[in-house]
Amino acid sequence: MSAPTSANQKVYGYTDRLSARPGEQLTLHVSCEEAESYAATVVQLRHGFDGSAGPGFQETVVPTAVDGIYPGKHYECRPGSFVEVSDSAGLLRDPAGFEVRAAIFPTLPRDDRSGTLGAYRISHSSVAFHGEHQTVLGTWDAATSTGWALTLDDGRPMFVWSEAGQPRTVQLDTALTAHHWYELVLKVPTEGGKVALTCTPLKHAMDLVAPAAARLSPESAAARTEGAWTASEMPFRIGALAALTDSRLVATSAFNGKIGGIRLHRRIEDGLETVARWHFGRSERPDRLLLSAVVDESPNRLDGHCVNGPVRGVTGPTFEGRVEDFRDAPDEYDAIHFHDDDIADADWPVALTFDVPEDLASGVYAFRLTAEGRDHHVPFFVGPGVRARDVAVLFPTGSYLAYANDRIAFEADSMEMLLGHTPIVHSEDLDLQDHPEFGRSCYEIHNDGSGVIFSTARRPLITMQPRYRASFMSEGPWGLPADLCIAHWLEEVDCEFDAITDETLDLEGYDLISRYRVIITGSHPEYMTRGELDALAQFTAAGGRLMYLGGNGFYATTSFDPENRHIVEVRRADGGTRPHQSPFAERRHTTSGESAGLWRNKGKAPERLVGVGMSAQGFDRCTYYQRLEDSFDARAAFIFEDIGAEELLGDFGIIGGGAAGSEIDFYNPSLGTPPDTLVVATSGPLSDTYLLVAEELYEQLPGLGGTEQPSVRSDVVYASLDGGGGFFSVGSIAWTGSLSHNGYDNNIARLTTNVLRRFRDDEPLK
Amino acid sequence: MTRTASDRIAELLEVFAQRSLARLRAEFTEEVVALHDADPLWILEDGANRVLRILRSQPIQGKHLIYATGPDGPWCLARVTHGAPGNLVVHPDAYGDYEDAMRAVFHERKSEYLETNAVRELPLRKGSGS
Repeated sequence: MSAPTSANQKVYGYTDRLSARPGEQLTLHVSCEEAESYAATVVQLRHGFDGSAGPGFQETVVPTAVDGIYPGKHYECRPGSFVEVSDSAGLLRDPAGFEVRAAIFPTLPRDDRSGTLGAYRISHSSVAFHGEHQTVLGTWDAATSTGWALTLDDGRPMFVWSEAGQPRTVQLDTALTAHHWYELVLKVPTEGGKVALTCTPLKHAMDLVAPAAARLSPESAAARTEGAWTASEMPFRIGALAALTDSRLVATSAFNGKIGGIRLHRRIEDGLETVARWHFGRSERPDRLLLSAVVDESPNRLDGHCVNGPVRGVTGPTFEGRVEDFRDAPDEYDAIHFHDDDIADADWPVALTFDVPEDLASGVYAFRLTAEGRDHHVPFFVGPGVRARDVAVLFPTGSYLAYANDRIAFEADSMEMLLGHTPIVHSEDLDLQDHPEFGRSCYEIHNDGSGVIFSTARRPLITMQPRYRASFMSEGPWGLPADLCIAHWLEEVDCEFDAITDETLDLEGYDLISRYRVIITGSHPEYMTRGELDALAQFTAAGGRLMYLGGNGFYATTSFDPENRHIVEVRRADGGTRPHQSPFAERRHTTSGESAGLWRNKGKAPERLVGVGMSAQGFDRCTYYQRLEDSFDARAAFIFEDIGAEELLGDFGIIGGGAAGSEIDFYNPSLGTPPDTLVVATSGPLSDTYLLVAEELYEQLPGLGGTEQPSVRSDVVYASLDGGGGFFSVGSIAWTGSLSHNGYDNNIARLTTNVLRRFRDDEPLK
Repeated sequence: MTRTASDRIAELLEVFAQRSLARLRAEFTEEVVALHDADPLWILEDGANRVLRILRSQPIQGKHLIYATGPDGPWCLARVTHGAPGNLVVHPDAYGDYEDAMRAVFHERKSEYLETNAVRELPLRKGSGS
């Protein structure tokens, strides 16, 4: 007998950003699922993992003005990216006399995606796709049958307009083929007459034979109109239409694919006048970044703005194949890639505003929302206040966002093979499956098969629930819950700390961390910006001490949108470990200008900063560490105080049963590890599910697993630098899961505390 | 009916799948079962891992997941079923240890692949957006 399962979470929320300082404000946005009310309170998150093998879930209520019962209301979260045009003069309200030209590159004209995609061989989308109606541009309001739009309807180009309040259409017979450029030309008479729609396959410099190979041919259709247009009240949008939902205009009939080269003219007595010429490759910023603003080059300045994070910096119909940076040839990047499952902001109304008290200690907090007996936490970080502390924890919010709402276990054929075990899912995963509208992680692919490159804090973040366990771990914590193991250990050793985040370090740079003696990383600081790497390097060079208590750190190029800092961008290059890959010439971050890829492939290998770099990943079982000769060096004596010479280190823990594992780093002096770095311990045996990372391979060779490949290991290193600073690196995500073992009476906690004690001492490291 | 690229890919993968199935039948021995039963998370033998990789790489639709019902279990077997609530159908039998649940998954697969009267073919990999 089988039974369907649904977890029925009743309340969800998010904040406008993940971090605020004392004296600043955070806004909380809440939606309820059939619950008439919810309770809200602020809690300090102290420990997340709730299994009996650890200290258990621990939170402390912080009395604030937030405490109370609030009315529950449901708000829709509607994905689908688009450009909305400001048309205060109403120039686009009716199509009389319009000649519209638009190049389109549909990527999912119909529901016909097939095959396996990306590194994990994703074969199914757990996000339902309803692509029968896709919008190129227009104002059509389906609820009132008013306005007009150029669309794909079941894959076939169509013009729909309202004539005397009734819908009229003209549509081509042939559905478009995915991944080809076409030009749509729509000609509308000024009064009564013939409406003509033409679709012409475009030749493209990158594949001149493509139209012929796909047997694409031009097609036209026409229909009569009386010219009795009925305008809609909806805004003009490109890539989606507007629909009214709970007093907000959300996206509907969203497009999958690229749209570009749009020219809109109106027929006048002696020819055509330009109404709008949106140039999607043009930026008016001095740095030429392509953010939300969309430029209309016509005299009418019908400028627009992107909503829900469509992908810019993509090649357009005139791309010639020689440049790789959108800033070098804007005309060749006159296109935007829209997705029906894009989400950058759920755009729920503000439920309450929280004034972070001036005396609230820096740390990890959450709004705890409770409805019908179930809690939902909305975590946030309170940054440093006026009170000076000597230790800060750098919470890797870039990683939290990149992994946010990951659904891979339900979509990928090869997930189980990657893990070496059947994924273990939890009620939160089922919530996520029931709410595809909460958007995807940067490990997934969109419905149309392209990789997800943006993530946002402005949506419910299910994977940031403090008790959450990722399906790929053997019931251990991951992400924020794993980093709460660090917070709880610091509480245990009576070390107050400030909580800083990737986003704030990227924004403020070295100034944010210059006053600290010790910076402790999270367990998985994978997604880092250039500004962060530079700030941390400056920190250790100036006498600061960096404790890297994780693995896979300082790994992939990441950018925060300078105008919308709740959005993070992670494009994927064509080398190294990656879940998917951005197309050629679309690997430049539009929010920073950075080229995509691993920092090690861009001359900033993590080995330079922390001595180690990624070697392997595996998710079956973790292992212990054994001491090496350097551990007996006098310079390292403080690390091993009260630890026996023959002791195995960390042969226990709530992450895979050992301190070494999950994603691991190794000592690799060829990539810049400082020469006097001591290698004090290395991992025990690992299975063959641990495979050498792709970036270490230039050609495939047999024997890449942990039982054969000597580089598949985790190394613990320590280095002192000129100036009295230095680093201690464990190179393992699993390390933090061993801290609490046996009530913190264990050699991993002892060793880590030894390092912390010495690093807090102002005597220069040796 | 016009054949598409998807049809051709499916045909090619089916050829490979039949070879895999033949190898699976030959190598899915009692020794492999004993190794997995002894410790499903620590198998170092090449042959056993090849069997496991074949089983673990099958299409996601209909595949097993393990569902944890609480912080310390118990753990239930479940199947990915896109369209069901949560896209998952959970079976009521519970296990007190997730490694026991992994063993149970393995034995269900063994039964499906080797012990039915008519050995079923490996499913076609003709996935599509649902």
